[in-house]
Amino acid sequence: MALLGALTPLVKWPRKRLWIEAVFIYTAGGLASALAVGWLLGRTGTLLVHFKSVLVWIVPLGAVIFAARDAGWIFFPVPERKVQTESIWFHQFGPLQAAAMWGLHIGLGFFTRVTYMGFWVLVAALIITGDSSFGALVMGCYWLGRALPAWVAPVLTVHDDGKAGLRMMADATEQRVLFRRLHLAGLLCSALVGIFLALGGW
Amino acid sequence: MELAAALAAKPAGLQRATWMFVLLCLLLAASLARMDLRYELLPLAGLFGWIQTGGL
Repeated sequence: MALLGALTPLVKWPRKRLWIEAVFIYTAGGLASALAVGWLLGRTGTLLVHFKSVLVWIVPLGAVIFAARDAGWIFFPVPERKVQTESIWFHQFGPLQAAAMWGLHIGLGFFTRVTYMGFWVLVAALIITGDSSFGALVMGCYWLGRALPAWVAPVLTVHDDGKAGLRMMADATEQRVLFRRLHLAGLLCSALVGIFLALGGW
Repeated sequence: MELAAALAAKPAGLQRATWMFVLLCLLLAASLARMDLRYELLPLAGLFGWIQTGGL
């Protein structure tokens, strides 16, 4: 969200084109990272093909456990690096280069905060499929979902005060319950898909 | 004070955009389910990605 706070005000600059370029570069950079990570995860899965009959149950089981965590029934910490990308890059390298670096960094997925466990369900699913093209496709979709708020952030501002990032943050704080419930629903859907796939073969 | 006012405001933009995105994911999921059940992971991945950024 801090990143949105850095990118979104660019829309106010005399050259709106700068904002478009920055967000486009951010999206493209992250997509490159995400595709590479997804491809590698799928590739990793080919090494575990002998354990596939057992591993296929990790996705539904994991999704249910994570859903129970979201519902507040159990608690365990999210496996994550508790770091965000470097906001100082904006001042060091300028908006375009910083956007590219932010995209490349965040798109890797594992090296910044992972607040929601759905990411780990996807990682497990991609390893189990053992299909690098499919892995790249799924992580690409994950990234596009992740980058889309940067595109729509200027539209979400209610007042013309250039504080889109702040307002998004205020929104996010108030809507955290909504996101938590949506995430819970997403995890339960993942569990269902995982069960069907485990029974029918990945 | 300006910052406090901005943070205290309750614009529903993010919520509306999120529901629109969820609707898009559901439509995508419904159409992809006919092709291959594995493809159901695509809209779910998009949803998880949106939540990861929006819900931070």
